[in-house]
Amino acid sequence: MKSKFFLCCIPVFILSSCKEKVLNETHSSLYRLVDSLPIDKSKNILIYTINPNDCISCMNGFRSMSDGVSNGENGELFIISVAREIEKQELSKKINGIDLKEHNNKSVVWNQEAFNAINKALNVTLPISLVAVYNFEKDTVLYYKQIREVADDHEIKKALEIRL
Amino acid sequence: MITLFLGSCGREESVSYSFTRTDSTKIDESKVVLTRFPSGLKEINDSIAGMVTNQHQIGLYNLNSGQNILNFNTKNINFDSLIKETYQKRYSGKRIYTYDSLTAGGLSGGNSQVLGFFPTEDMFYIYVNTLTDVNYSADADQMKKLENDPQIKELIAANGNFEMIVQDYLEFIFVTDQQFHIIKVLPMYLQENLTSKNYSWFFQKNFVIENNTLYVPLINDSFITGTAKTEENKSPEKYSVAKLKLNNSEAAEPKLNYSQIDFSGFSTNDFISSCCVFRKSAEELLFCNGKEVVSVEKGGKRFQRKSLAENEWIQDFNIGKDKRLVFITYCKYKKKQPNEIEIQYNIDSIADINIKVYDINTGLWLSKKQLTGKENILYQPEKEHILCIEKGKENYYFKRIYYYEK
Repeated sequence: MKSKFFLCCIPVFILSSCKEKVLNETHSSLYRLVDSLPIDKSKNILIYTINPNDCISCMNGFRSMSDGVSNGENGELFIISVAREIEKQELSKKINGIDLKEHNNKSVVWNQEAFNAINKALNVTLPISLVAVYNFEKDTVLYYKQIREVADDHEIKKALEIRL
Repeated sequence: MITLFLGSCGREESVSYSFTRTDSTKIDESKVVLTRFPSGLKEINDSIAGMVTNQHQIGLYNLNSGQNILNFNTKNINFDSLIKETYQKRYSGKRIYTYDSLTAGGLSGGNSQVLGFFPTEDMFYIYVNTLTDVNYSADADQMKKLENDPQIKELIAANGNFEMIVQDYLEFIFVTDQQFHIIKVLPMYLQENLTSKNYSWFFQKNFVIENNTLYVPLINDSFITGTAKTEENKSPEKYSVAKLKLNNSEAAEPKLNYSQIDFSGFSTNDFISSCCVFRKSAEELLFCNGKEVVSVEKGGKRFQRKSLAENEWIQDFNIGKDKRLVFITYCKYKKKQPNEIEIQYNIDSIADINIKVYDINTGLWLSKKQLTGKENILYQPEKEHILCIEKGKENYYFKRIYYYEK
């Protein structure tokens, strides 16, 4: 079997692989955000919270994963932590490896507050890029992990298939 | 006019210092938009500062006008060709390097990362790395190391054997003139005497060039992965700095072992996040690990950790007048309810950021000034003032805090 994965030159830690977290609020901030977006909420939703200041290998991991796990069936949400309009415009010009334009079943949110709120809801207080799988109906995060710590995409695919 | 808010002046010994605030200067973003907080801020001279403005660029700015006057980036560098001429030739028959610009640049595009620089009177030394696919199949020593990696062991256990293509950083020092014209490119191959003991360069932290000699922090894998035993933090067998001649990088000499500079009690996060600062005094090159300041060549301590509170760390320092050390320090506090990541990484809260002046001759603190400890301010101690970058709601600003003995 031929497989390819990314490995930082600085070794990183492996956190527990799959986490399930029921958000405590009646309707979490993530629920309210997802509710307002035109994406399919009947299946588990793939979410990336992206901090452009995060490390380069995280971004590579993000791209590899995005290509590997997206099959168009699950809704996708990209939340990019950018506060200033001037930065959004500049980053939009530079990000050409990934299609970040909104289209069917895919939403892109450029908002630092949304990024912070979602990470906070996951009890992640650091401004780090995450990949998460979210069930809207149950307002439950089925899986989340720092992008830099994902070694392959099997666990994400597995989380996308979970039925609650 | 935006000014710094400075807290009440603390004074610890008989010498009193004054700290004056300055007007702020808006940083010009007409040519380079700051899409991330700048790093590596350095004052080149009275009117010019340099900083890493994004993952691909270094900018020079006029401190008085804020104008962006010159930029260095690697967008026109052919890394494919550079790697073939350097790393591929050196490891011919052992490793296969496959450069791909999309891999190299990550989400932000580009072909490399520009992560730090060191200015001399007439040149800039710029640290650049690029991420490349490497096939180590024919490199038995490297394969042995990789197969012992816990992540890879886990993958093999889950998926069986597979052909490994590792994405590895290749490191270079670009040497330029004052106008950022490239004079030469130095590949920074890790030396056998370092790799055999699992050391890596830590150029991302800092480096300095002194008389055609390069000094760079070293980090041992066991401290990054958290597998080091407690006694290793004091081991005379572990080193913190590498010294090598720019024209003969084959002979890297490890300096400052852990009995000469104190790393006791350092957690993995401390090794990664604490400062590594080099400063040149009239007599010697000094190195700081976040807790102590030590002469690189002589090994003598110029500042000991006992002068800091247990939870106090040095963010940066510089050498002021009359052998006085000017520190930016901060304190770490244990979080009441740390989350899983904070527990795993041993991440604490940071507060109490201060400018502190220390007299090497007497071993006493002379003065202290509390600073605003926001995430959106970077403090850089220079010889007679603190240079700052502050991010406001819509703009970035240069500021200076002057300090002088009353």
